[in-house]
This record gives sequence, structure tokens and C-alpha cells, in this order.
Amino acid sequence: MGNLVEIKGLSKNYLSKKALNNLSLDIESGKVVGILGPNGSGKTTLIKILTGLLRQSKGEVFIDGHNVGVYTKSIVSYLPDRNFLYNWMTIDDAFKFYKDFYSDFDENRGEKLLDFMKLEKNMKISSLSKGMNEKLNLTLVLSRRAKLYILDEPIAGVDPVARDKILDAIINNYNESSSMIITTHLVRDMESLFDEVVFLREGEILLKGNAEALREEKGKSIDEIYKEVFGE
Amino acid sequence: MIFKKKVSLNLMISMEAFFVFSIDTGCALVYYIVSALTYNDIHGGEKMEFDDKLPIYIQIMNYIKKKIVSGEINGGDKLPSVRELSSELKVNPNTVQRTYQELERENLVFTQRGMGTFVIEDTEIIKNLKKSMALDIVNNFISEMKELGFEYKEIVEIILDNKKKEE
Repeated sequence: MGNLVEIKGLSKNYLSKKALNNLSLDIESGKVVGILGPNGSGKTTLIKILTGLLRQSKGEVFIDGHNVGVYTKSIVSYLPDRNFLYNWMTIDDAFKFYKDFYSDFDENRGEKLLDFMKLEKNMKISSLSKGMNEKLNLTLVLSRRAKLYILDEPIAGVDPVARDKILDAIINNYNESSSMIITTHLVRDMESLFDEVVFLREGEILLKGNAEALREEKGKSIDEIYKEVFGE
Repeated sequence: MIFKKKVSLNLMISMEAFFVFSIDTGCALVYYIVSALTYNDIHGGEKMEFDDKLPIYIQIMNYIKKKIVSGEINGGDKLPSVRELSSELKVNPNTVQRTYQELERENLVFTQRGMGTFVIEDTEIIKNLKKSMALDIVNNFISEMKELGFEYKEIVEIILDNKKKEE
């Protein structure tokens, strides 16, 4: 299994503030990687560079052997940390929108997920609750047959039942030929999903490794390690 | 004139907000009830709780071993597919894969290509497993009792007392 993502010496500065500082990371294909860190640790900046929404100040990023650009955008399915659909849309419109934009959108899978999430196509985006919106966004993102899924805070701000539903959808739609990057600070709820974890602080990697190996080595859950690493 | 317009606009906004709100909470409530109902169906009212200290694959191994020893799963039974179990327990499929590999290494299960993973039919192995799991629990119990300052004799007395109360 090769590396789907290779990040070498990546830095990003916002004027004088360093958001990412000389960060290097490889992600194998078929792995679920959790990027963990408190607010402002650089998680979203890293993801925005991977998705081509921001340009790095220094360093290199390769996805499936290519620089970030048109090709990588066609194989990366990205869930932003906020709703990305227009309020005037119905769910049906959102489906058409995605179908037009992405050739790898699998409508069949989308319908099944929609059903699983108990959403109806004639619902209006403006009338959805936060949890329903999150579910719809995730439905669209997971319905693409992408090589890399990037989920930015997929369960932030939803109730525990919706959370379980979202975790189910992620597990059921993950397959060995694609990788997933998930950022979160809700470590306890998501830790059983990760193959690898990366702890990020102030734009640098504090600790990374196989999740099970870390549990074995430290005799602690990832959640406890998180608290130890980031606790004052 | 202008003032009047403003008022009616405000009213409209608040009405809309109220309308959206009531749909929202209604949907959420229905959703809650439905998922609460289906939840118990799928899980049979039982869900595995993960202990923090151990790797997850070992915890799932113990969970399956317990089911084998208690007779909930019999020798020769098919285990759920990796995907089914990972979805049920909400863990990464690679972790369940590893669990099955380790169980296979311990000769408790075997995989048939294209068919799935099955529990071994050898009753001797299952009997041994039962014994070793019992021993683990007893050893733990005794060492904790000793930490509390109890001697063997006192431990036995407590157990016999307990037995009498149950009867």
C-alpha cells in the first residue's frame, strides 16, 4: 500500500502568525486518520491547503502523486466545518447541484444514505435543524466515489443520536481503497474509528502513531492521551 | 408610513422564525423517537462499552470470547462479517479485521474463503477457554482482596456467607 497523501515541510503564515510550521506527514491509502488538536492548532488550515482553498507559504503537498490542483480536487471529497448549501435549495436541488459538479457522484448511494439518515428529498435546507444539515452535508460528501475523504469536525454540535448515525454512515461507507482524514476535538466519540492519530499543536505535530499501538504503549485511551498532551 | 412597514416586516420575520422553529423541533422529536425505537432493535438493547485502558481489538476479542464461553455463540456458528460488527460496535473495520486475525491465531475461529469467519467446533478448546477466563477473574479477585488485607480463609468465609444469603 502506497501513500495517498505526502506532506513535506509544510508551513503557512498568516502575516506574522505561523499557522503551520514545517509539518510533514504521510497518509497511506485505506487508512482513517484522526487529526486532533484544540481550536487554533492548525487543523483547518492544513485541510484547506489539502483541498486547495489556501496556498501554503512553504513546503510541498502531493495527493495521489499530484500537486494540489484540478486533478486532486476531482478525487478529494471534502466536508467543510460549516453548512455549504444554499438556503433556497431543497435536498433534491442539493443532489442535482452535486451531480453537476462531481462526475464521481453516486446517486444510488446518495439515495440510500438519505434514506438511512431519514431525510426526504422535498425538505428545504432552510427548515433543517443543525443535526439534519450535518447529516445532509455528510450524505453528499460520502456519496462521491472519492479516493480521499476529508471531514472537518463532522459531529460538532449534534446530539448523541445523530452522532451515532453519522458514525455509522462513515463506517458503512468507508472502503479499503480510499482514505479518510477526520479532524475533531471530540476525541472520545470518534477514537474507535481511527487507524492513525496525529496530535497537532500550534501548527506542529506533537505526537503521531497507530491508535492501537498508542493505547497499548501508554495504557490509556486516545482521549486520555489527548488530555495529557494538551492539558495544562 | 415607514414605521408601519417596519412593524409588519418584523412581524413577518418573527412568524417565519416561529414556523421554522416548530417544524424543526417536530422533526427532531419524531426522529428521536424513531431512532430510539430502531436502536434497541438493532442492538438488542445491549451495547458494548469500551474500557479505556486496553487496545480496542483486545476488548472485542474478550467480548467475543465471553459470548463463546457463555454459549451465546456456539461452536461452528458464523461470526458477523467484519463490516457488520464494525458498524454495530462503531469501530474501524481494520480493528475488527485485526480482532478476527488474532482470534484465528489463538485457534478459536477459522476463516473459510468467501464464506466468512466461524467459531471452532472443538469443545476441548472452548472448555479450556472457559477455564482460563474463570481463572483470570478469580486471580483478579483474590489479588484485590489481598490488597484489602484479607486472608484466604476470610475470603472463603465471605463467599460462603454470600452463598447462604442468595439461597
